[in-house]
Amino acid sequence: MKPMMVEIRGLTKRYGDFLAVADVSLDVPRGELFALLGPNGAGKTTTMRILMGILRASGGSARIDGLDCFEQRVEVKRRVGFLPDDPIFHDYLRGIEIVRFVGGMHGFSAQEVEARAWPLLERLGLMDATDEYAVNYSRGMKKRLALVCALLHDPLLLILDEPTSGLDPIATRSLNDLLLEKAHAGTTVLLSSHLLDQVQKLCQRMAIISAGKLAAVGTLEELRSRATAEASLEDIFFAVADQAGGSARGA
Amino acid sequence: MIEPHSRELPRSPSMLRVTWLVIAFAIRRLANRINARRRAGRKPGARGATARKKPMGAGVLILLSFILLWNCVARTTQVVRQVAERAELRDADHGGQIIVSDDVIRIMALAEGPVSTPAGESIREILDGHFVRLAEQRAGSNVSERTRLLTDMRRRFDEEGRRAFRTASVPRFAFLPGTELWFGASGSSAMLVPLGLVALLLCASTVLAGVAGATQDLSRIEWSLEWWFTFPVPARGLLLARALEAAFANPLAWLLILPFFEVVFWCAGLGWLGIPLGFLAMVCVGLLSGGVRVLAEAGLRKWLSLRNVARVQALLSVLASLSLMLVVLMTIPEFLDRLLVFSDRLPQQVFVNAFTPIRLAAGGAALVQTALACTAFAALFTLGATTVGGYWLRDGLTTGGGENQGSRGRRGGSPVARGSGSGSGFGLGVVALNELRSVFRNRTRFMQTFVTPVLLLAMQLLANRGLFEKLGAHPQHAAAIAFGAAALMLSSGGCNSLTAETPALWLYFTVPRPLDRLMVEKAYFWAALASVVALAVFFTLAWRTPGLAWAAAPSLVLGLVGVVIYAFVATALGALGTNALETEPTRRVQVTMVYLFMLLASLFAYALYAPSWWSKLAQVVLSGLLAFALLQKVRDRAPYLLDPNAEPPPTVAVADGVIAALIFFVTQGLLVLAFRAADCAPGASLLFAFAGAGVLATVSTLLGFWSARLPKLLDTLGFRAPAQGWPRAVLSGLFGGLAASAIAMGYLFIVQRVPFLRHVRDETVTLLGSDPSSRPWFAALAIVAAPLFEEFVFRGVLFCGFRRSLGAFRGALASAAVFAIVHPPIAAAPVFVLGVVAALAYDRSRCLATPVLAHATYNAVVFLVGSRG
Repeated sequence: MKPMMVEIRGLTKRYGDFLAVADVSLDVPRGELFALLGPNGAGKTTTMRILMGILRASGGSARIDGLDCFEQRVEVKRRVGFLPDDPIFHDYLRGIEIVRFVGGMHGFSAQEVEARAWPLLERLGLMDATDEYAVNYSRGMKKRLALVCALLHDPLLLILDEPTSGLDPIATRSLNDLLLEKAHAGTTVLLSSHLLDQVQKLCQRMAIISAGKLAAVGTLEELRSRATAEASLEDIFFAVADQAGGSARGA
Repeated sequence: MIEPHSRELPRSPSMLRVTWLVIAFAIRRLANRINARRRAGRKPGARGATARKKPMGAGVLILLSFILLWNCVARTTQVVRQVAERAELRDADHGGQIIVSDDVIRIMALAEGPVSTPAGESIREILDGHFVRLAEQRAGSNVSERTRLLTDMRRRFDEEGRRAFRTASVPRFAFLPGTELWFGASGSSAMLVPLGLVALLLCASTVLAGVAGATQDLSRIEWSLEWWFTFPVPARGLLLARALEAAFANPLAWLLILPFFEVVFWCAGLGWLGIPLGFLAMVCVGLLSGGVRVLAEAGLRKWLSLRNVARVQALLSVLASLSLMLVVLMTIPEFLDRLLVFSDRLPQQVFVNAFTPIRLAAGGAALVQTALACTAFAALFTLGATTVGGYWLRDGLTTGGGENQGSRGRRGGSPVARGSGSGSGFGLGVVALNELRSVFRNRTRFMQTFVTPVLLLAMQLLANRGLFEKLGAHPQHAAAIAFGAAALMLSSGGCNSLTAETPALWLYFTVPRPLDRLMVEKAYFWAALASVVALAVFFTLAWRTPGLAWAAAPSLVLGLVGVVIYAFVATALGALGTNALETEPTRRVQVTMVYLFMLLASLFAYALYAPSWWSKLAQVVLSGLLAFALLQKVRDRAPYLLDPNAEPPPTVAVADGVIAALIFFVTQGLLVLAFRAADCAPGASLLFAFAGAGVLATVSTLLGFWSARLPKLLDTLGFRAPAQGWPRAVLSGLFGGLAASAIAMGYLFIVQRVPFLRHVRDETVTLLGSDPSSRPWFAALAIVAAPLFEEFVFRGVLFCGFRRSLGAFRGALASAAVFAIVHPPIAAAPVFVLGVVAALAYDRSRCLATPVLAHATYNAVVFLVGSRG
């Protein structure tokens, strides 16, 4: 059996009376490209924020590489790179200064940070804007800067919240290539997305979350077996999401 | 020809409707903020509103608001009294009776007799001495004026006798506002003009703070304004709503303007009518401030580049602080006098006219006229400002990311080679480097951190010119000023160090460094920066006063220790007062936390002025305890910063121990006073007060933990069977107590032989008194009550809180240090040993009975030996 990178058991998050994540259990083995799918407000971002130790689970457990995501959050972060849905950066700091800061926080020397940062900045097309203040970046540029920060320490696991939203087609393609390359090199990738064809092309396995509950999980073939043989991921998504909690869609 | 649309377009709302909609929106938001759990018209089963976490220390904040409000009332009362006193003196100067004190009148009664007798002559001499002193007091260094006053007094006494003199009608001290503080008719300009000047300065600072306060950023357009501008509504309506919002949301209007006018109107004899009039005055000032804000927002952005807008704002924020400082300084009589002398040169109409709310104090016909004129003026000004603002914004908002624009485009050379040189950042840690950049690039923050404290200090020194002369005699003044400057800097810098990060805080959750470590690093950074400021201020003062540097060196060292401790207090308080999930920058930090910091820092001044080294040490230890307790809270709460509703699980914290100890000591003091007032014997009062306070502290602490749902409450606090069984627990308690008392005996032996220590001991013994009838009471207190309650507070709660963060041994040392510091200095050393022994014994048995036994044994031995010797 493959060792697991992400283990989620009975995960629950409650906001007052509202159940954002209800008893979700998931495993992501090492080196896999895994997608979280689901309608808006289904609980994808909440799950990812629990994995990052930003939120504390109300029940159940979330472990990364065998470490508890809240109790051992510092150790977890040596292994993880995180891209939030809508990254906001400090005002009064230039793009490159933010990257250097993140590198320093990961414990790299100044030389190491430079050696790691510039190839990534080049690859993600940020070379022209490194001396610009990050608050003045467009949404797509902020997202790319956050990606540089997430990839800087070459993490074992990448948690990416809608990585391609806000990116132009060129950046989207280069990101997809980068992710495949990383996965090939053994990095585990957990991403959420609304672009079903991207997920279909990129990911080995996927989970559909709806109204906080895990509606389906498996490879595309396994999910297809629940619908018709020729069903696209989109068809499956609609079928599963409707079944599981269509009522929650409007919420 | 273009064909008209088949669909009818909706009609745009009117300007007033837009204003109302925006205000109703703001009110709804406020209501939801206060009560998130309210379920208005909720459908069954639908998702309800998630209640946010409660802010830190809501009780403290309410208390602080009251303190601030009371402070303003008291200071205004002072100002009114001084103005009245001055008005009375001046009135007397213009041919009325000369004002002197009661004593002088009494001497005059004696001096009116024949001068020829020797007694009569000496009385005349005494009286003349009083005249000389009085003339000196009134005229200061003005020699000709002094001579004039003196000859005038002598002449009038010779001519008219004591009929030419009277005592003042304005009381010399006043704590509460009252009509006796008003001199002359209510409409007399003698009172109104000076108060008008004060009111003008108050209004100026309120308006300036409203435009360029610490939390505003004129160079950046708030997203809400940008959003409003996407609607098909007139800009004037939006700006009017904004002006009104700014008018009522300005905290200075509520905490400064309102109490000021209420007090003045009350003293002027307007009675209950003064209360609505005070509100009217506040609304008028608020409207002016709102109008100016709208004009500044629209105008500055239209005519200036964003960078220059930021510069102007930084300048305005300094001006706002300075005018606020002027207001505070006005409570110093000499300064107020100087200011009023200056104001005498200006025409009265500048300070009192139909449009200044201060004229409401005149009452009568002027009241109605002024009320109408003020309201009309404020309303028209606001409407005018919004119209002009709307006109300026007719081409739309000037938007931009902010004042700072970097460069784009590639530079030559290999990026790796280029970057490696600049990445080091002067060898500073990344956290310090980031903080430094933020402080130096954000102009407003820079001004508030460096420029404002320096200017405030300079102003204070100018207002108190005598200070430089006093420095030679009181070297600790120099250290206190240096500490004050550093504290001022910390209040704007250190307190904001987490708030400045908030929107980008997620970044810290992605790196393998705990957030509380980061706060500690920030605290070190601010400690270093504030120490530099303190040293700079100190040496500037020392340079002007020869010999000061050496005389004040010990105080300076103490002050620097204070700076470091309070850097931690500032960072921790700022972090605890930060609401990281708040979208509006103005609400991200609770300003009251900054005031709380200033209050706590000012308490440290006591350490600098305390005469004994023991009080100084106690102050340092207690301040350190405060810093540690706050940092522990930060550490507990940091992981939950971005979680909207999860909170740290309840645990025993150092802060709980501090609160328990405070309850214990404060009630003890109050109860002793109460028992003594009820004529209870001294020994009995002491015992009953001690036991009463102990019961209260224990019960309230237990109740607090119980309501916080501390798991295994009694177990955690040591109310349980000992871990190693009763016989061993009892033995280790007895043995620990005996060991500690053996050390105490050795210590007493040394004390006998060292003259200094013997002296300290004798002082303590005299202080406690040695009435033999109190002896049994003291015995009961030392052997029964003290072990029971002190062990609960210091071992059960405080040590437990320390142990969580420091481990058993260092926790024992820390709790014992606090335990020792609350004892008389002579007992501190052996009590410290007892504290360590008791804590370690408690750590092994986990049952409070063990340290109670150790403590009782120790006290019994010391008491017996003490009563023999």
